Amino acid sequence: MVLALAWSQLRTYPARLIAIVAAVTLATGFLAATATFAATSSEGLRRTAAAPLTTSDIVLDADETITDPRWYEAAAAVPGIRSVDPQYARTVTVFGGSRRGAANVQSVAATPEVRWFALDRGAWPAGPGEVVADQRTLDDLGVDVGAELTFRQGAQAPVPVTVTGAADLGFRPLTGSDFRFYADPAFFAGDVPAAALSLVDDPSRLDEVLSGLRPVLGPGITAGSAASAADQAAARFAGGNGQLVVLMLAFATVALLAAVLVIANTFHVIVVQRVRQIALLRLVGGRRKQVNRVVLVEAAIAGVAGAVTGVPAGVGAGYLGADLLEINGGGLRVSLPMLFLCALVGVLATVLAAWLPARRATRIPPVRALQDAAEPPAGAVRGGPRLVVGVVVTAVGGALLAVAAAGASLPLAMAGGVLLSAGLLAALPRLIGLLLSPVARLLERFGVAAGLAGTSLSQNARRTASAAMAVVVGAALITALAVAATSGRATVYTDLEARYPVAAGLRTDGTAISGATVAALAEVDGLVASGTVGTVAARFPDGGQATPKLLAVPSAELAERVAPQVVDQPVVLLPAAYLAELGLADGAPITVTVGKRSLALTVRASRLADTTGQLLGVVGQRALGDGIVTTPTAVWGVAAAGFDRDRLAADVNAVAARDVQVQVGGGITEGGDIANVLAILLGLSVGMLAVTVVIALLGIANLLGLSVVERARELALLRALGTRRGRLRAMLAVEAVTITVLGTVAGVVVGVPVGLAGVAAAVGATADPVIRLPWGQLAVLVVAAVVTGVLASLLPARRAARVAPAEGLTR
Amino acid sequence: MCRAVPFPSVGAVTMQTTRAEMVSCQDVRKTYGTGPATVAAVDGVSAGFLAGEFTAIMGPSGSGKTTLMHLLAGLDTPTEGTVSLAGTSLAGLDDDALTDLRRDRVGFVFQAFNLLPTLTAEQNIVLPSRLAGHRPDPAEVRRIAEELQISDRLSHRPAELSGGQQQRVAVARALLAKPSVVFADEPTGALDIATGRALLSGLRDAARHGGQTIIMVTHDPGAATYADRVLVMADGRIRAELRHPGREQILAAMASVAV
Repeated sequence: MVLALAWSQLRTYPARLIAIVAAVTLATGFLAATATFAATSSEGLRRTAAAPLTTSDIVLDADETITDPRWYEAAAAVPGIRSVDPQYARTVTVFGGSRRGAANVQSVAATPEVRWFALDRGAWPAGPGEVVADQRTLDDLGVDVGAELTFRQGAQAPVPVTVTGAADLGFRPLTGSDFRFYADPAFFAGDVPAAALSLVDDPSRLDEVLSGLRPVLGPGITAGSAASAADQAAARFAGGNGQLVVLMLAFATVALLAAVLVIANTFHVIVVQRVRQIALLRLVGGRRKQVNRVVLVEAAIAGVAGAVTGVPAGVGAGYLGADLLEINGGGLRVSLPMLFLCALVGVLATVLAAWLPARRATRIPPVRALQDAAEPPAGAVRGGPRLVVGVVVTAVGGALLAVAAAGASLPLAMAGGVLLSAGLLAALPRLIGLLLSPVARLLERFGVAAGLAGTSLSQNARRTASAAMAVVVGAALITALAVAATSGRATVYTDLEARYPVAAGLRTDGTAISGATVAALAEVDGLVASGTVGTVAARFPDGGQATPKLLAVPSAELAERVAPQVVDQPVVLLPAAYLAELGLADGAPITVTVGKRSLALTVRASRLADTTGQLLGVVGQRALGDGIVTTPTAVWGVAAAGFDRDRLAADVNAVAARDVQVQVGGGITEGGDIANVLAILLGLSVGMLAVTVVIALLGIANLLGLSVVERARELALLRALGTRRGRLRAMLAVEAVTITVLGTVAGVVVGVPVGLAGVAAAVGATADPVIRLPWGQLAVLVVAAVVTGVLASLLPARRAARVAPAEGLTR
Repeated sequence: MCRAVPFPSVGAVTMQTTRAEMVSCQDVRKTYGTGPATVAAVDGVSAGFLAGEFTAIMGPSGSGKTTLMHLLAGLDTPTEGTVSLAGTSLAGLDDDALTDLRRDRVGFVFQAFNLLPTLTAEQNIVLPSRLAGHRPDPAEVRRIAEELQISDRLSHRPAELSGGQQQRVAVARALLAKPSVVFADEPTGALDIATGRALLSGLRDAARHGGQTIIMVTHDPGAATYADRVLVMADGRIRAELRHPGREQILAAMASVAV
């Protein structure tokens, strides 16, 4: 009977549940997307990591003690071994097209069966000057098969190579470099291969072959089955998607929380609307438990509907996410028990959200079915113990966050954040409820419509507050993310600017730098000054690895800017680490030998000495004297404070791409990783904005829609008394916008300190946190709140305007 | 249920208790508010209602007749005094016991909003027995529906029924479970005269032939003439008791209690 009753409710009023189903769909969708993304990307990463090992039977590994380039040849003589292919790898700088960058070059096995990818086009490399590349590398470089490129390893002479073929790997290999090439073993002449791949004649006798192989190999060489090596490689990368999964889980949690708020609110309104029906059910003999169950079963049905639509949508979204990041090499992976769990969580959350409204329903006395009395307002919000507890927990959480920010402790910050959120969830609805009366009074000043809206909001304070809470949760998260991203970037960049006096530097390995390169760098926008740096080999007292080998003399103009200390005095700027190694303090004397001349100089620690890509002793021309001739081997550029890092890096790299002799150094070479992480944060905050807008739209439209039904007589009376339709519509729009703006402002107030504390806790140990608020994003958030409010009020307003004035006069 | 001892006299009329009382109350008071603002809606009423008796409770607005009915039906708890229904004292019953008592022994018919709008007429009729976990006898449902001339409307929802049809569905629901007591609150208020008369005849038949106790609150003297007796209330007390009264008698009794 309970089921039949619940079902009849749903069938008769399906529109009421749209918001609930949609909210559950979003929440379970998020969960399912996270699960799918985690499974798909894990498998993709495993495949990627293991791919080069999947085609062979045995892997031989040599450690650093092996110096014989042909160490692997001994294995070929072992009975049962069919082939042994050395695996070489080099990291080079590639010049080609309009770009340059770090490239990873691996060897292509001579034995065709061991090659782990197939060529799409072209031919396998057949000599030291030939390479193949994956399609993405070619696309990124802007070249195609047949292109001539230049490879340069460290300080060695540049080598020309030809791209003879292209391979489609289907995923992005994990090499940690921009570009990937595969060359003939001849390319690596003289290198000691770190590993070798081997095939056996009979794979079923692998263990036998391995035991025969091991005694033949010298110390420092190990042999193992390729299958277990592949598993190990895959396992090492299994956590590669961890951070993203955690972030997605956080979003899923927030979506779930917002959904619970929307669902609870909707059920609350539904129960208030059905007071007489529920009372009638009680009157004719429905027990409290039965009434309770009707509401909960209704919630469960809506929850199942939402979960059933949400899970497939989530699976699609999760796969798409892995596809976008190109870590879906293993194809779609889903774990059915996991998806079932996601659906279950969605359904349980719905039932949980309906719990309080259902309990409220059981408290409706049966006699209400016989009474014609109007519904009393849903109740003003008073402070009470919940507010006190909430405020206390919030304060504790805030204090923890502050401590974490000061002590730069991320775990403590997370604990504080959780406490803060819990406290705010308890306290904020009450606080917002308390805030509504002053807001109503304020609104009265803006005319009748606004005044009526304000009265309606504060009359239903509790309901208004919980509708606003769904907005608060989303807005707070968006704000925290945006603030963390903006402030984090500002902190890192400010720190980099302070640590890298030279924003961009190009240097050769000792030859004179080309005049064209110097001129091109001087033309780069964003550099306020640039100048050449002359260098000469010099001998410094031995300070271990930190010992400079060059004396550098910046041009006069450059010296004034970056090293004014050296212009007139016999001062040498040296790396702080080097001075610490020697135990020298600022102002201590040092003797530097250049050729046959000895220079007596005073030391001073400076970042200039070790942040341009080389270890230098920086001196002025005067201190060097006239007898020592320097060669201009570098050009340094100084940028204005707050320069556009990405643009400058792109411009400088473009200059460097035209000159194979130079390498890039300076501030622009740092901070890219952090910038990438922060950019992902910002992107996610935009995605969260979309989710929040959708949930708020649903929740508020639903709330207003139900409230219009509830207030039909009041609205009709207003119409009968001469209120125009437009004014009724305006009234509802004001109500909706008040809810969204109130929620957004509260969210921003919560989110800003949380975001700042997060930044301070994460980077506070390494740099002074710089507070920078994302005003643009915050403005967008408020605009989105207003637009969402107006949109949410459109349909309810139409219904309100259709209420006939006569309806207020009958009954 | 039998009572051997007569009640002490409280109020203007003393009800003598007799055999087979299905509903009775003793010295019930119901007050609202506290201190000097205390208002007694029912101010010391003792009454008994026999099995098979059709009683109408009348009185001007605010006389306490509806509150008395709520107290008798166990929908409200008296401030003082005791109520017993179908042999069970209501004092101290928990909500579930009260609910089950209502479900098994009591039927309700009232002015409007008698039915759950999401259920069909038939589902509404069988609702109490389904709530009790019983399977209602389809033949019995058909018989009652035919008697009330709603057999062709059973699959309709309340919104598709006229006021009179809705009211008859409610009556069918009240009668199906063969409740010992049927409480009716202004049952004819929303009906046209002919439909109202048919309904009242139906209630009278239920009392005479079904042995059910009918307690009806009304302010329509015409409706009250269908009752075996009429209790006239004013200011929370029973002021007059009439047996098989005519319309004029009722009007006179009403006029006597009017201020």
